[in-house]
Amino acid sequence: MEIGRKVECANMHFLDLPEDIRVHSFSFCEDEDLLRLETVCKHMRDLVCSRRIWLPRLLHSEFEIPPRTASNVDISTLSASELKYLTISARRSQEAWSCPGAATISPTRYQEVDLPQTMYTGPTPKQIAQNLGLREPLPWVADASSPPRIDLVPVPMPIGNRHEYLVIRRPPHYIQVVEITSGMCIWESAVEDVPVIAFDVDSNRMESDNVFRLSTVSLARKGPSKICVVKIHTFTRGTAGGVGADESIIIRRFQASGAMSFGYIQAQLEGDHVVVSDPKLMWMINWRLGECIKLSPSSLCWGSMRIVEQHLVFIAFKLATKDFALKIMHLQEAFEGAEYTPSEENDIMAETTKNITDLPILSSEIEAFKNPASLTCFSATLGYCKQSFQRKDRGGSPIDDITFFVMSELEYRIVRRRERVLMLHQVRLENEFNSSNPGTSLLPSTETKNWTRVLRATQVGHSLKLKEQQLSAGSTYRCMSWSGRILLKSEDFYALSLQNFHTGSIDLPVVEVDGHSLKGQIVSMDPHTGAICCLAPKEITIRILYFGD
Amino acid sequence: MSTTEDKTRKVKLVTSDNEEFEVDWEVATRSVLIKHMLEDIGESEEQAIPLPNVTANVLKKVLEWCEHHRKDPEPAPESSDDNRKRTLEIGDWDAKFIQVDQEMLFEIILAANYLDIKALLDVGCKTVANMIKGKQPEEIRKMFNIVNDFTPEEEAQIKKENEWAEDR
Repeated sequence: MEIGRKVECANMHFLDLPEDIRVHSFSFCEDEDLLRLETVCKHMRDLVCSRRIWLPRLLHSEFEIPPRTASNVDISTLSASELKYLTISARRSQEAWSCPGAATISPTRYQEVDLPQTMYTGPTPKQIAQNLGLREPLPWVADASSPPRIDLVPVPMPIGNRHEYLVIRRPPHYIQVVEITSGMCIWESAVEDVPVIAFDVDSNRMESDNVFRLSTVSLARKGPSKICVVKIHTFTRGTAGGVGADESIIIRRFQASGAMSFGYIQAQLEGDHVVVSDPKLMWMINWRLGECIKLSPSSLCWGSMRIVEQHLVFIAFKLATKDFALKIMHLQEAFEGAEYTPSEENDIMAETTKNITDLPILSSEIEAFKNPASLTCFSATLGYCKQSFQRKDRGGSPIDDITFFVMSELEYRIVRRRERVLMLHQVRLENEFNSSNPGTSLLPSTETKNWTRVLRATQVGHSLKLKEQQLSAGSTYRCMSWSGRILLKSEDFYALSLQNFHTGSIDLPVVEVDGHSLKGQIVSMDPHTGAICCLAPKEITIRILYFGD
Repeated sequence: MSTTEDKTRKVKLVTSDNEEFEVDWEVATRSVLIKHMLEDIGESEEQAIPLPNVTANVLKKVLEWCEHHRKDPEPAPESSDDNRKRTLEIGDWDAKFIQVDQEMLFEIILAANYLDIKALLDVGCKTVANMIKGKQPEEIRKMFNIVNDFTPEEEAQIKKENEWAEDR
């Protein structure tokens, strides 16, 4: 607009430059410079805090791991401040978590929330055992020798890595939902649902005022047999702004397995599906329709089962060859092919049994075991990240945009020495011409005869041989988040990132808060956001650690 | 369009303050605007091109830049612009060239924008970004002669919103 006018040289002013030119200048500025510019004056603030500044920055930044957004989030509808937050937090998160050569890393920010002090009125561990018809109190609800088991699961928000709500499971296995800022307990599981043997939250693709869903899996007795009760609670935002549980609770029941009585169970909730798994079996449930499919894969990897973009993804071990594979199954398709025989008992869902080998399974190309004989221990952890924002433009299934990361940990015995090696593979779905690679397990194509979809695995960087002092602890906790953070528990809690594998660096920084390591604390990392929740023994304050978010 | 004849051809430019410049075709056509105008009027005419938005002292400076960059390859098409790495680096000669007072800097930027000389516009805008880099809001206000029209409360509010992202 100002281009055509004559400019008086003496009064030439930065704010007199056409807006396009100022925007162009700002495109060369650092994020931090733009934040400072915001407080210069109102005019500058309006210009800097705008979508035309931040959308290109978000789209064209070269992030190793792109910022996290729920799968239904269309970034073209996000506000300027949301775009700003996503752009800056993605970069800062990377910087905060991967510090080459650092001995320790600390969160950039943490939030504290106290365990709710409400009085528990549910059954005691002894009563739980009696109700379930068990002689002894269950070890997982009443084990005096180990610290009380508390699970901390923050609820991911639609964009980024922050949280508003935290789901806590406390002994003897009941659930509380806490609003993080106020510390208020907004919901508690019903007395009849104790023990909640597994639970999960889902905040992906929430419609209208719904904020998240919580699924609880409880163990109960029905006559002589034990059953699993799956409940779906929807939390909605009320008119006052607060969040509360919807009145409607959807209840599904199925026959429990023996292993469930010992607490070996996990659950995943996404969209219409809940997948419950014990170490040998899986139950896929469409909770809206009340349909249930029981899967009996030959073997499972404990702890690495997820639902991602309506696909069940898990790592299966082949014990015979000491090898493992990543498997992906489309949930909706699995239900479409299933036939149900009506059940006598309305109450308990009819189960259709499927042998998992009949389903389209993709074997990964991980060939990690050169010498299986010397292998004393192996495990694998699944992580994933979404690679693209422009999914809508390119068509295709959202699962095509996901890169899965599989971190495997192998322990060898070489003469008298133990060696522990970490390897990272990235795995993606790819279309491949049928004839080219006959050795790979292929997914039968739904589109054309010649093209099949395969899971292509490639190793990321180098294998990391852990140091002597990092070997000491027998059991390790590994979690890999969508945001590319890997938390490794050995002797202490260590922070790993993709960078470690690229550079082959085994100088793993210890995670610290205010100068103290997390050793001995109850620690969990949210796989979606990479936020770490920790609780020191005998303390009542939970800390949620954020790295650059 | 460029032919061997163009090398010797001269172009006449007239500034807003009625000063006339005669420059080589190759130098003048660093400006996409002038290039298009020349294409429009055809090669036969010996017509002077009016530049009503540029004063003589600014055009002199712009032509100095064009002269130095006369042999530069054609700029990449617009589409690749978004993907190029945002670097603040400026060539040595350009850095020296752009060491001018603020008024002149803005004039050069305006002229580069009007004359459609992308590379020069980038040099100018990068210089502005460099001036902003690392400066506190008060320093920026002083530098650009901007009045702070925020109330202390509003300013505190923005600072609070951005607190999470502040330098550690």
